[in-house]
Amino acid sequence: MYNIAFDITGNHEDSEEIVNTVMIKVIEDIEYFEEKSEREIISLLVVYTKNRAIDLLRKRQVQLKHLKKDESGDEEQNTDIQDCDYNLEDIVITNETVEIVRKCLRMLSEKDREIIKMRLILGYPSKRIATILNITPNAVDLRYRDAKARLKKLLKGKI
Amino acid sequence: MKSREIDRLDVLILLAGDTLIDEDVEYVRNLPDHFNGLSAETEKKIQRKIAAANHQRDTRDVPIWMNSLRRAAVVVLAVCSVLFGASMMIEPIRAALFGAVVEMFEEYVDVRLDDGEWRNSEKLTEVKEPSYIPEGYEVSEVYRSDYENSIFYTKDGIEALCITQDTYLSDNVLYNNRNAEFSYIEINGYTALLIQYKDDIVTYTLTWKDETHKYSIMTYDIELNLDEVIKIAEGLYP
Repeated sequence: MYNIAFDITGNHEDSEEIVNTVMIKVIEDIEYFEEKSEREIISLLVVYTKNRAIDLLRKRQVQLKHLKKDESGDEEQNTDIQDCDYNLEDIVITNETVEIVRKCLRMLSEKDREIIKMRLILGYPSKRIATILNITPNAVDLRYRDAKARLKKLLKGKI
Repeated sequence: MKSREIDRLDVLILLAGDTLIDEDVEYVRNLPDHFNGLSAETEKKIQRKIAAANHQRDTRDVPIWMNSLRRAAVVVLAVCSVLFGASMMIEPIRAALFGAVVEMFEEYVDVRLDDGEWRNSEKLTEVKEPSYIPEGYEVSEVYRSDYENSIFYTKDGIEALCITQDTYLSDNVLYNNRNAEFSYIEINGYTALLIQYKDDIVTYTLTWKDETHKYSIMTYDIELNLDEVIKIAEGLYP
């Protein structure tokens, strides 16, 4: 957690503060960590820590020069999620299909990947994701729907 | 998630989603290690939070009414403690309380040898005096209660005879059997146990029961023979 925080803030004191804050969040959400694999827990801690770090830096109005998160893409991407209405229900799922989906998932913005991961892979409810990402539950649902739409658009013509 | 409908895209994401987890794991593994330990202050903060969370988790499943009851009990206990402390400053109350404690201790806790269980519920219905006492014997002491009548005699100033009438009906009477001979005789139609002690001197103990009382005659006078002991005993029934 410390290294993730330091990777974003580049500052020892801030990283300590973030670790402290994340630990509190982890304790609050400990039920979500139960029965998770080690890899999933690492992934959860990455999400928690990154978001706490971003919150901290936002509060201090620091230029997020270390931040890898793509924050500017939302509006642009929102414009190109229209007109991707095609039917996925008839698709036969094969190893090749799954591999294509993997590639498309990696092509999504970090924000989209994060919301899909939290919501679908790690099974967090909207309310909890909203607390972690510091947005409203409605915004979570909207962001999730948009992320899926963008993924669907990326998959169009490939599967 | 369980209640939400899963569409085909969700299935595809679930099947391929491990790549998102792998990304994070890879990211963490490739991070340079800057960690040199947390400051003591942060460590303390975290430990406090963990302790508080554990406490919260332990009490989470307790119903609200139970918590309310617990709080009420604490308040009542505190009020009682204050009132007790205040009342103990008043001398008469303090004395009364200690008196009650002592009384209760003696009643329920204190170990005493109480022969009440052995005692006949009836008191002595009739106090019997011997109609025959050998010449030279004088009453030296009489002990009389609701349950016992004992008369002690001396001869020439030396203890010589004791006649006891009581309501103890237990057969669990212990006798000294050293140098003793046991036999049974009849006193006024009742079977009596006669014990002859043959130490340096010969003395007798005679004990029997009638319908209501138990009697015993103990002699310490070597000149008092068995016939006279029987005569004393029968003299109790005029």
